[in-house]
Amino acid sequence: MMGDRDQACGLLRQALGIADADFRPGQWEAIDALVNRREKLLVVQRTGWGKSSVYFIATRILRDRGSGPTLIVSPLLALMRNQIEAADRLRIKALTVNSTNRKEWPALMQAILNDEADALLISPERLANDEFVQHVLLPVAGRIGLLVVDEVHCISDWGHDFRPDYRRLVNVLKHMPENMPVLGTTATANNRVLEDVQDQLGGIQIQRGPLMRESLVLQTLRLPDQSARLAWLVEHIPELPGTGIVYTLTRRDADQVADWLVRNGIEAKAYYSDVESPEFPDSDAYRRHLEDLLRDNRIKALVATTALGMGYDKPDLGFVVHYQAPGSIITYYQQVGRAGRAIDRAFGVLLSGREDEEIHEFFRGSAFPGEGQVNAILELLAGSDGLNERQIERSVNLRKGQIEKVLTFLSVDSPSPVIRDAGLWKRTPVEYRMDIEHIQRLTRQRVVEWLEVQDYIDSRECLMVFLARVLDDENPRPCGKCAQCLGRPVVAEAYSHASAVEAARFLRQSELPLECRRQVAKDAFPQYGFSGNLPENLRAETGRVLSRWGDAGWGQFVADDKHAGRFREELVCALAEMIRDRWKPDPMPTWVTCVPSLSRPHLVPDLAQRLAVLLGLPFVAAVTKVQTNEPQKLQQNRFRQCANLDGVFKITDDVLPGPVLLVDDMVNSTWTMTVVAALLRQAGAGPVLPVALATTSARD
Amino acid sequence: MSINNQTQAVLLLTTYFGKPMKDEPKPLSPTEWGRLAHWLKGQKILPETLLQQDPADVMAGWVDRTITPGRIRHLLDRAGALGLAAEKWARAGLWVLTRADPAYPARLKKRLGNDSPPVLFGCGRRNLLNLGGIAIIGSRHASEQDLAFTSCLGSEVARQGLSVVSGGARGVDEAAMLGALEREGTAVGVLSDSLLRVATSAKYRKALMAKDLVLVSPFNPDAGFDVGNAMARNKYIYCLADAAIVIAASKERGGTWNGAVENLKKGWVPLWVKSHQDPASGNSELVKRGAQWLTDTEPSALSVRDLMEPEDQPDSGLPYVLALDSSVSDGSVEYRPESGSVNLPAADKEALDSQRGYDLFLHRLKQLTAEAPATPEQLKSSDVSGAQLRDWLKRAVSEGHVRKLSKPVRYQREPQQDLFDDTDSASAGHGVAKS
Repeated sequence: MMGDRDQACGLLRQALGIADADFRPGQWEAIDALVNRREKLLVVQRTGWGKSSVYFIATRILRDRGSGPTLIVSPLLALMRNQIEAADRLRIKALTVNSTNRKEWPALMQAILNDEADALLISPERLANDEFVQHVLLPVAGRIGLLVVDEVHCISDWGHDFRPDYRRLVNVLKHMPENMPVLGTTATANNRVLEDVQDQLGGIQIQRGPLMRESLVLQTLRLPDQSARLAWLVEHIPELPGTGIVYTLTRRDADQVADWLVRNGIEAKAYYSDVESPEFPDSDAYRRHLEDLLRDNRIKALVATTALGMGYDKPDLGFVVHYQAPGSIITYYQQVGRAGRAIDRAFGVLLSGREDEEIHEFFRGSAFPGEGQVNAILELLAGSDGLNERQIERSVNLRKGQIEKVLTFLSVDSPSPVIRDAGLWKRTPVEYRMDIEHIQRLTRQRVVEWLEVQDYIDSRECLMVFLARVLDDENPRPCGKCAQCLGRPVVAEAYSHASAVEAARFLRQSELPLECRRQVAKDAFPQYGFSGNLPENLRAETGRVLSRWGDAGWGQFVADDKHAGRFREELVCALAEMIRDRWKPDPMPTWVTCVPSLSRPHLVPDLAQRLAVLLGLPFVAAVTKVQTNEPQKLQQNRFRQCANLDGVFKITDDVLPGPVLLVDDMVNSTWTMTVVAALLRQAGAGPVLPVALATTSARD
Repeated sequence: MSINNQTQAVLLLTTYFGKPMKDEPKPLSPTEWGRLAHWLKGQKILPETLLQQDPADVMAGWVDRTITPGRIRHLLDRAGALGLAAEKWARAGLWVLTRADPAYPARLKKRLGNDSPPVLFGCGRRNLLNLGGIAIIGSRHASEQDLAFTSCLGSEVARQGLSVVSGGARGVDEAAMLGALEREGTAVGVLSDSLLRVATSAKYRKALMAKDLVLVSPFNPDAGFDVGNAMARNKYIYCLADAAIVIAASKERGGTWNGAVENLKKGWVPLWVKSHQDPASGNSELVKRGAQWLTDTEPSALSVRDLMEPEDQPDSGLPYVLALDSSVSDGSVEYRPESGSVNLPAADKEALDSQRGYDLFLHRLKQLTAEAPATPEQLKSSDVSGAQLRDWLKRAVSEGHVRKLSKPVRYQREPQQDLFDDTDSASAGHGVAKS
């Protein structure tokens, strides 16, 4: 019978293709516990220790004994190439079921039912999807012989990366009968997280190894202004070894930093959860492409949010630079720990700016849905046998994203007041009261974690020891190579004034494309008669927004001036410059008009008139507002945003036939621009080119 | 819901976790599980041991034609499916009871023995399951008149302080249960399908949350409608109640008819039928077979407690025999609660008990031999002496219910002996349930 150490070691050699390889401490013990005692085991080992060897060898042994395939739940989109090779050498056929290969699901399911697959890789998101579990996973789950959960620290409330999908996973694990062996792996967990995981799962053994990373050279640097940090990046990234990752806190910063680096001749790409490219069918495919680019060293850096990290495993990553400080030391260790896995020297530089604090405060404040939102949705569902998202959207004044957040938040509770069944959200007969205290406790914990990051940035002791201590590593010793150990920067702190000036200019020229809507909400426009897809000849062209509300470029001026009641000349000039020098719309507009407002009748027309003067074009007030409506910004979802505009605007007879520049101060959902553009086209105007000072869209 | 490891073991052995699929091992039937549980108990093995040790070792010494070690292993290997399914049940606020659970309804165990469902999925207040009540039975498609009557009846049962037990389906079931719940009474719904969907429906949610209602089902909460399951479910409605009222039955067909006839045959609870003009109606036919007319046309005039057996105590060995007999004796006599038990000469009573015992034995015999021949050892039961067993077996063979096989001695069920077939003359002919 398979399952003794020597035979397992033979499998290890086979997997690695190394004739005299032997187990690292802990590997055989883990395999033994899984295959011979069907235990539940939590393995805390640094990236690169060989966790996948453990589960592939265990899989091989169990399969040879006639067990079903291993289910691997991992945030990875696919197995890494080196893992695939190891699996191949063990004759392990591993299948991946994810959102990119939906068409293959029936064939993949059949392969599992035919006992042709040895391992099945799915993401936590899949496991949290009731339809997927019901129709794809459950029919084949009767055969699962081993359950592996990667990045298992995510199931903890205290984890830096609490994710609802993992919350669901905890409950699945809790309900796994004793005879299902389970392996949880993580490289990032302190004792509190481990205790929490142990509490939640019960009866799980913990195996823990040292987490110190000897090759990492650490440094911290406070540079409050974005322009200073951009300047630093552009001057120092080229001198960092190999390729690496620049972490930002928001998608917008990822885009902006990547754009800046590219302009300065550094090959970089932005990476975040919904990042898309027209050349790829969907975001997952593009993300895999980006991961490959970095892995194969075809770009200098990926500029990424936390979306890149979990499970991303590149042995020779040369550097991890943080453009903004992460929210906790655990997150930082997780991200910086990607560097220097299999090379002698790699750099981890944490830059911190003045906006970090504000961003984290926003994250903390929006981590949980409001009680009012929760109650509104529960009350709505209580009166029904089940509703789909679209029906919910029509009945409560919440954004689609807010509705989803509430439902996800509620549905990971167990028992939960809502459940998704047959495509509908249903109210279960479970009493519910939002646990405000728990939320407050978690929020306070986030604050403590953030303060810990501040301590790290200002630390005078060895930076590696600081990290190791927070992670409860047992014997941290000074690394002797970080900026604190050496008493001098490992990467120079200086940057040139010229770069800083250039960066400041860049920040002020970081306008965005403005895309109006194409498809209107059903039954929302009884007066205007719009329905379904707007015909091509009623759609607005792609326009421009000068800034984001309150950003480091123009956004702050826009916010100040809107409040003051008049937009300063600088902003009008900036708009004109953007249109003439950079956007250069085709066709060029021949006249200017604007979106009217009844509550502030002069603000926008004044802006549009002054812009028209600078552009040398006539201004025509061709759009009038004939009906008072609620402020558009209070309309939280698609249907409401559309319905709130029906019948509100009218086009006057002054409309001109040529291409027109349509001016507004702020855009959010872009519905106002969409509707006014369509009305202008209907009234005989040429192509409509929308332009605005700032976007307040929460998406960024 | 916290499912302990014993419940996990029972679920793995007896429950489907999704749609049944080709090549999938078939979960043990209630009777099969009863057989295995009996053996495990005898060996002093807890079911959860099967999860903790190699089942092949645990089961050493177990020999059974249908419950093979391979089948057991395959069933237990479905741990992953159970984990996924149980997570969803828990999330929806459902719970699971096994026969070992103190909250498991005593009436079911008492009346059905090994045939009682190994697990009950449920939602709502579980101790309603042990309160008995009045079963109200009828079809999904009932007349407006019948529905109105049923609704009044449900509300009257509630007003008089008893629970309504019904099937939770549309039509009569729903009218009866909602009638009771609207009166702030209590109800028990025994579902044959879609527990999850019904538990989240607007009409029952409030009562579930107010703890006035319990919904249970012996089947996977996600399972859709299945005729076989619906038929199998009917007996649990009767067995959870203390008396049953049939609103309208179609003669010789449908779940209402079959369930009522089964109850008459088994003598679980007194059976009453709503009065019906048509002498050829199913209701009339049920009266011919031992049911009693509800004479009061207005539910409010009814004293529902009088429908129940006064001796209806969980420990009285053979309930309902006398009541049924009293109705049979002259065809019109109504049961009179103030008279207590009907006086019968002791000998007659014994004869009845004996006949009743044989009927119960026969029922068990048919179930134990339903899938494969059974040895005398397997047919043994603690409440029957060896001599009595031999006598009854002989009689069962002579009446053509089973055939005796030799080397080794086993009893095989004869074909065309439908368990619930009313033309089954042997048991009906002498049965107390029928004149």
